[in-house]
Amino acid sequence: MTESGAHPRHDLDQLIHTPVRLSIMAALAAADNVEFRFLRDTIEVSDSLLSKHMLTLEEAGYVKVEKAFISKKPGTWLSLTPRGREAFREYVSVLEKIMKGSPHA
Amino acid sequence: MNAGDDQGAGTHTGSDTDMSAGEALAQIGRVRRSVGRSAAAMGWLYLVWGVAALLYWPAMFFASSPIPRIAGIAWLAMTALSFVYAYSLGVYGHSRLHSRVALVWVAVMVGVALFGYYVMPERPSGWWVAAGLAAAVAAAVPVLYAAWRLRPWDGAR
Repeated sequence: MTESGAHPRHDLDQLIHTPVRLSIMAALAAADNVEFRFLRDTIEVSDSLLSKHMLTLEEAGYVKVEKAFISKKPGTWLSLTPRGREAFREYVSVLEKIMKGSPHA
Repeated sequence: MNAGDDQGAGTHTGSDTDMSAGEALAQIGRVRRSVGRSAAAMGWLYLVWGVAALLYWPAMFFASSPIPRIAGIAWLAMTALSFVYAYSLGVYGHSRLHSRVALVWVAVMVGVALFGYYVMPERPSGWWVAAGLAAAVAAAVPVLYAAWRLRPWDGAR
């Protein structure tokens, strides 16, 4: 129970708390910049699904998308914004609170 | 998993996605390890550059023509290949370490080059050989340190 009497699950950021967006945020939190294709292969989703979720996170101000050309090859590099990094840190902290409150944790 | 399930009652997040806190944390851990392994792969590049520096400077200081020229061309080729390799990894992490190591390494390399150009005699012998080898080791230390910090050989961490 939190001080307000609500279960900590109510504090979970529902924008992050879906399997694909959680994986995206975790991947970006573990590095400074991640290339789109690397992220797609790492979290095992299709281009279109990743694009759709990236757009949601970008609109929320959690993710920054940058286009870069190396040796004339286009690449899309993704990174967490300070707001996104803070949101993910808070999200993990809530998960840990939930686990601590569990008799099975 | 239902909220009322005995096994998941404490960690269920009440979300439409039906993902428990434990499952979410486990997924975060999996992704983090996978990305961390790829980011640490830059360590192999540092290791190769460390070994290359140990070979390059003795070749420049002590070898006769055409070996210094070949070493110079190989160095340029390695620089180009390094950019390709770093880009192909698709992940860039440890930026603070990279920038610091790059700064120190460039400074040391310039210092060693100036030493070779202005201080080292044309045909070094005796203590000059030891000094040349010491300069080569000094040039390798920053990148070998970076390789050791990243420890790509450790695999999943």
